[in-house]
Formats: sequence, C-alpha cells, structure tokens
Amino acid sequence: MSITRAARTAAAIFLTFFAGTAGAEDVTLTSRDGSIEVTGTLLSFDGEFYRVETQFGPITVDGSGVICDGPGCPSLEAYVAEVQISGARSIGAVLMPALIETFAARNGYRTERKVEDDTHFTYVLTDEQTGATAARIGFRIATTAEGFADLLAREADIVMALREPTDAELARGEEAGLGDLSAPGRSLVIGLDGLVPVVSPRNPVREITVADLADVFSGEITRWDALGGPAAPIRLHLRNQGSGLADLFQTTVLSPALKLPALTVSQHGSNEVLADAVARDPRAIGISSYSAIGNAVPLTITGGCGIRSPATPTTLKTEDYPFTAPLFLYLPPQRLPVLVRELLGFMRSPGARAVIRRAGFVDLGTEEMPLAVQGDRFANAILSAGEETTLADLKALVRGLEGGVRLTYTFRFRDGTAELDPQSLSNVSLLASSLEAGTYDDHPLVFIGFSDGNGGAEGNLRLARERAEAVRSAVLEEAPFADRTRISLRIRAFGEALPMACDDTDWGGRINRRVEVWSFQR
Amino acid sequence: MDRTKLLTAGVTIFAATATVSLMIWREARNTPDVPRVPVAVAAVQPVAPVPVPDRIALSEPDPVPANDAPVSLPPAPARPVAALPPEAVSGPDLPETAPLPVSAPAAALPELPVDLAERPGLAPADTGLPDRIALLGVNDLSPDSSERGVRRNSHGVPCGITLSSIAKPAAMAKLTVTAPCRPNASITIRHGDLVFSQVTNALGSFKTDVPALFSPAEFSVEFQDGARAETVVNLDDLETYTRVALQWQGFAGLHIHALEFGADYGEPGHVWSGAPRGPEFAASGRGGFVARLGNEGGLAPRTAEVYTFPAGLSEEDGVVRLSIEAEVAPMNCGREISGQTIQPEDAGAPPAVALSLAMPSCDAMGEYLVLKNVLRDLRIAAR
Repeated sequence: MSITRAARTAAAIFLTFFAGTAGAEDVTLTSRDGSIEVTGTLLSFDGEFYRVETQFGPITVDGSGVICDGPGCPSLEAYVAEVQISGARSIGAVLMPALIETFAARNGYRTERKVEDDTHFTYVLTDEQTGATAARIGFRIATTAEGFADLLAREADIVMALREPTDAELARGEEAGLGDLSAPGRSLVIGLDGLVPVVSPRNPVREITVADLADVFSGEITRWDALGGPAAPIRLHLRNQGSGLADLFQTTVLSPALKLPALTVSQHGSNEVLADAVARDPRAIGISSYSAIGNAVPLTITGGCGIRSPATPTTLKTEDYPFTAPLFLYLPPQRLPVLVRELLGFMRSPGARAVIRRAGFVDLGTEEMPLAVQGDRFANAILSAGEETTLADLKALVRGLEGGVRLTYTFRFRDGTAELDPQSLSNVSLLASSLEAGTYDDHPLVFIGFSDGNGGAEGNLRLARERAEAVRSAVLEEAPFADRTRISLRIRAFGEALPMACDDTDWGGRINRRVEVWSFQR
Repeated sequence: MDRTKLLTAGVTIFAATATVSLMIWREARNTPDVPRVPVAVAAVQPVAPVPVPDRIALSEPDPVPANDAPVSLPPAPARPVAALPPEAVSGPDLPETAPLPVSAPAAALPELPVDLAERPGLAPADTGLPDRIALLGVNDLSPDSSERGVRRNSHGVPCGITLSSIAKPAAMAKLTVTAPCRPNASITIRHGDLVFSQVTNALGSFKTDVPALFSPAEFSVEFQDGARAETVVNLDDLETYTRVALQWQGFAGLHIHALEFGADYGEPGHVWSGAPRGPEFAASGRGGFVARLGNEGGLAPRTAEVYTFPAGLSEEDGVVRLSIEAEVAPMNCGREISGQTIQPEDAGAPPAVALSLAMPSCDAMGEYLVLKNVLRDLRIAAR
C-alpha cells in the first residue's frame, strides 16, 4: 500500500518535472502588427494576461494585444477562472453566495452550486451564451483563523475574515512568501458588521456598560441583579475559539480590562446557533453580531457618563458604535483571474448594497445625517461642556455645522497612533471614488477634526486640525481623477467640543478622536 | 455486501413496479376504460401479500382501500354512458375521489376505443355536442380538432386537455387538470422555474394547490407526448407572503425544515412536511407552512417543496431558520442529487439557482444530512 503510494508520488513528481522541461520555449506571443515577439515558457494565464518565463526573466503580457502560438498556448475560450475562498462562516455562509448569485445573474452567467457538505461547496459559473464554464469558485466555511491558515498553506486564495491578521499570522505569511498581508491592496472591506451583546426577549435588561460586559464574561459578575435585572444567575454564551467574533471580543472588550473569558462559557459553532440559544433562555447573555441578532435582542452599549450607543447601520458606518467589525477579504499576492476581479469589484459597487443589506449586514453606501437627527449628540455636548468648553465654543460649533449634513464617512485611528484603522482606510477609497465620480462636484465637503478631552483644550484643537488635514490629503491622493476645479475640501476643527462617548475609557477616547465629513450646499 | 444491496434494490424495484401496476389496475377497474388489464393481472398474483408502501398513482384518497382484493368491486348503479353530462367530467370542480357512476364487470365492458388520443385517425363522428373545452380557449390535444372532428373518450367526453386555476387564500393557485383520454398519465406542472411531476387519476384528472411565486401566475401542464395546456391566475395577496422553494429530480427524500422565531425541533414553530400546517394558518398571520408538490414515486419524478411565511402579516420581529434535510437511505445514498433552489430576491421573479448535492455514502445509512447554509434564513420584521 505505502509502496504503491510512494511509487505514485514519484511518478507524479517525475511527470511534473518532465512537463516543466518539455514545455521550454512552448509559447510565442506576437503583437497583432507583428512587430514584437516574445518566446518562452508559459508560467500562467489568468484569462487576460500571459506570464512568460523568457531569457530576460518573467514577463507579463496583455493577452488582448498578442497572438499566442505554440503548444503551450492556453485556449482562450476554455479558460476557467478558479479560486478557492476560505474563512469566516458569517461571511461565507450567506453573504458570499448571495453576492455571487447576483453577480452571475447580472453578468450573463448561469450559476450552479455544487454542495459537498454544509461547509464545502463550489459555485460553477457558466456563460449563458456559449455554455462554456467560466469560473469555479470553491468555498470552505470555517473560522477567520482557519481561513488565514488555509491561505498560508496555499489551500485558499482569498480569506474571509472578521479581523485583521495577527502579528503571528503576518509573520508566517511573509515566511510563506505571501508578502505583507497588511499592505494596501491586499485586503478589501465588502461590508460591515458589529459585535453585539444579546439577551433573550424575555430578559428585561436592555443596556450594559463595557466595563460590566467584561466583568460578566470574565465571571466576576454572576447574577442579573447586579445589572438591574431579575434575581437569577447569568449564563454565558460565546462563539467557538478561532472565530473572528470571539477574537474580536477578546481584543476589544476583555483584553483592555486584562481579563479572560470564564470557564463556564458555552461555546457555539455559529452566530445563529448562539443567538437562538440565548433567545430561548431568559438568563442567558451572548456575544453575537449585528447581522446575527436573530431571535434574540441586542443590548445597547452605554458609557459611564450616560452616553448610549445602539448598533444601527448608521452608527456602524460612522464607527460611532464602539465595536464595529468590517467584513474583510484578504487577497493573494498574485493577480486574480479577470472574472474574480470583476466579482470583487461588484462586491464594493452600489449594485451589491441591496444584497448585503438583505443578508443582514451593513452596506458601504453613504448616508446623510442632518443636524435634526443629531439631537443626542448636541445634548451630550451641552452636558459635557465645562471649564474648557465654553458656551461660546458650543455656539461656534452649532453655527459652523448649520446648514450642513454629516456624511457617514468617518475616520478614526488605531490606538495611540496617527494611523487610520481598517474601516477608515476603506472609507478613504470609497470617498475618493465618489469624488472621482463627481458625486460632490459643487458640494463643498468639510473635514472636521474632533479630539478626546484628555489634556489641554488648545492642544486637542491643534491635534484635531492636524488629523483632519492628514485625512484630507489621504483622500485627495487616492482621487487623482477628481475634477479639482469643482470639488472643495475644507478643514475645520472643534477639538473636544462634541464628544461621542465618555473619555474615561480607552474605547471612549478612541471614539472621540475622529474626523467627520460634512457636506454643505454651495 | 454489494450483492445484498443489489438484491434488495432489485426486490424493491420489482415490488414498486408491481405495486404501481396493481394500483393502476385497481384504478382501471373503477372505470369502463381498462387500458392495461393484461399487464396488471400478470403482476397481481406474486405481489398481493406485499404491503403497499406509498400512494403512487393518486394525490387524494383512492376509493378502493389499498388492501382490498382487486376483484371484489362493489356493484354500482348502472347508468347509460350517453346520459353522463359532459360537464361532470370536464368541469373544473370534478371530485376525483368519487368513482364514476358507471361501473360494470370488466368482462362485460363494451369494446370502445380507449385512448383515442394515442390513435390518431380513429376520431368518432361529431355527436353535435358543443365542445366546451375548445370554447374555454385551452389547448386541444388533437392537431385536427374542430367543431366537426373532436376526439372523445369512451364516454363521449372530448379528449382535449384543460388546465384551470382559481386563486385561493395565501397566494395559492388551485389547479385542475382534466384530460379525459389520459388516465393514469404522468404530467409535469410548471410555474416559472418551479417544476414538479404528478400522475392523473383514473379519469384523467388531477388537482392540487400550488403556492404562487409571482403574479400574474402562469401555469402549464405537459404530458409525456408533449401535449400541454396553460392557465394564468392573478394572486392579489402575493406580496404578503415570502416563499422559498427547493426542487429536485429523482428520489432524494429532501425536506425543507423551518424553525420559526427560535423554535427548536419538535416544537410548534418547527414546520416541515411532517408537520406542514396549511395555507389557512399562514393567511391568519400565525406562521408559515410547507407545501410538498409532486411525488417521488414515478420513474423520473420531479418533486418540490415550498415554504411560505406570511411576512406581511407578522406581528413579531425575528428570523425563520431554514435548512434542507434528508435521511440517508438506500435510494439516495452515495448519489448526486440535482435540483434547484428558488429564494426571494429584491425585484421581480426570484431566479432559480441550480444545486447539485452529494448525498453521504451508503455507510451513513439512517443518518441525516443537514444543510443549514443552502437556504438563506428569512428575516422577518413586524408589520
């Protein structure tokens, strides 16, 4: 048995080697006017570009401009885009299939879903007109961590992730020759989700502070009476280890409080199962996601100072909700087949927004918030006003914002740095595309810097202005084709005058340090 | 091992064939048309003690109890064939459970041309009766049908095929197929992408209620020889209901399971074809129901299940979890099942997505295949 296998392996290695040598000088690419000729071994063809190993090294040639001749030439018609996608269940189970089906229907492909089992399936896209297979998109539904592991093992091309790769994953990616996964262009945000504490509809408790949440899940608070609820013990529910949501909860809620989850936590394999288990038990509390509140009810996050943050599409888009979770796709270093690149482009386009919303997630579309719907924020501003923020400051603030609408593009920074967080980086490119599309021609935009209340008001104001300027230059840099004569991007700063959260916590300070974008009529 | 399986499969197929024949024969005994008596008689003897496993030929109860001896037909009041009003046969509300009031011992049957449709050129002379079916504007089977040359069955009923539809509560369409010259015939019913197969009863008729996926809802019925009829019905309450369909070819034993608003298996909110509820339940806004269309008994069956939830009437916010489940059985293990899912989309008729499903191997016999990710859960917002 093992001898046979070894022999077969040897034969396979021999064949591969043989194919490699026999294929030397197997293609000749000639430009259509016959003036340029490239001869070499075909390394790859992605349906659009030839990559050829020549005597001068590897050369990439646009397939539309050349004629391929030789035994190694791929059949243009028979080319099938193949890609393997692996990772987070919450992205792969519902959202990706829905996006692929919609993309296929709108681009003239018939779809077949080949189901191996509940976590392995393949979408086969067939050209409606020619009947030729155009793409095979394989899925493995697991966890964010397993998705990255599959990418490192070269068993996946694209990772579905609810978090950024850890330092260890980044390092292993470099070792495995995958390059820098954190580099721009290596990831896409296709939608938004958020980490949301949930309880049963029969539980009267409807809000919780972040500090209490950490104490509850670390086992220090064990009874609902301590949270203003009934005299009953608390039962804890979390996602399984390795899931992006569990990791996110650890890094954003437990770790800052230097805590670990209690041993009494029940772990679940999917957000849906978790939410239903919580919904059925009035004593339960669980950490689910905005997209999978299901039959449970969400708890509003409150700050110690009385500021409330419910998870809504708007607060997730603006990151005013403290625990947003962008839906990431991490991409391989090599160029993906054309059809797959078109699919990824569709996922970030306006055409995908309805699909994303229907799947329960928050889309990337921009919303406008007039002053009238921001009453809470101004009430907070008045309550927090004191020695440093005077009535005159507040009046200046209101006058400055009058007549404008806040757009959901908001820019926040990684803790303790001037670096934009991933969702904000995604916002930079979304806003840049809108500028290039002329969406804000003749509508002045104002980048308004705000800060936390730690430190002196004057220093905070200066910091806020610097951040607003940094964001504006980042956006302009990404929008080289925007019509500079018709767009107007101005800067303002109001410092600590309009807090979104209490500064007494890490997350509160992070929420408050931000650059908002407001749109005004000319 | 394999030989045992083969043997079991052989016996099963034989028993099924024999049972079908037996039932066809019983059906035939209820009417003067006895198209397949010789075949059926041959099959009856060895199979008589085998219990009938499934109702194959009919969708509604058979007037003859399945275990009755086929020869002991109750005597029926004799009535001349000519006196039978044609409306009783071709009208849309024919109760197919009632045997025709014409019954005689098989041996005494007159030698009438039985299925004229299959024998072109044997059209009897026009009896002068108005061709009610043709007036309905529905497809007639015979290519040369006219006022003067309409084919008729042994009762003088025109052979034309009709398909009629009536809107019923919960956006259901009541379909009635009448094909007097095509008793016990396989039919395929289509509604957009939704397809299922059935068999007409001994009188050539078939009735069922189908959940509509769009409105105006077009339906067609097609016989194996290509003869077909169509109908359209408006369903004004369609928007109130959200529908998800799963359909497949061959024996797969698939079921949609819905867990409404956090219900667990076996609880009242667990809806599937074993606890299907009905359109009335949905129309009252209390919850969804499952309709199973077609049956898996024929030779090349096409079966569909449609789950309906009255989203527009819901007073609750929440989610209905949907899964596809099947018991791994000798008929489906190790096979690839091909089917389609039809799930709600934002605009227009929902598109069907082809599905191919690898059933677990036969080692997993008796276990359940559970697919939670193929059908999307329904998110319901209180109205």
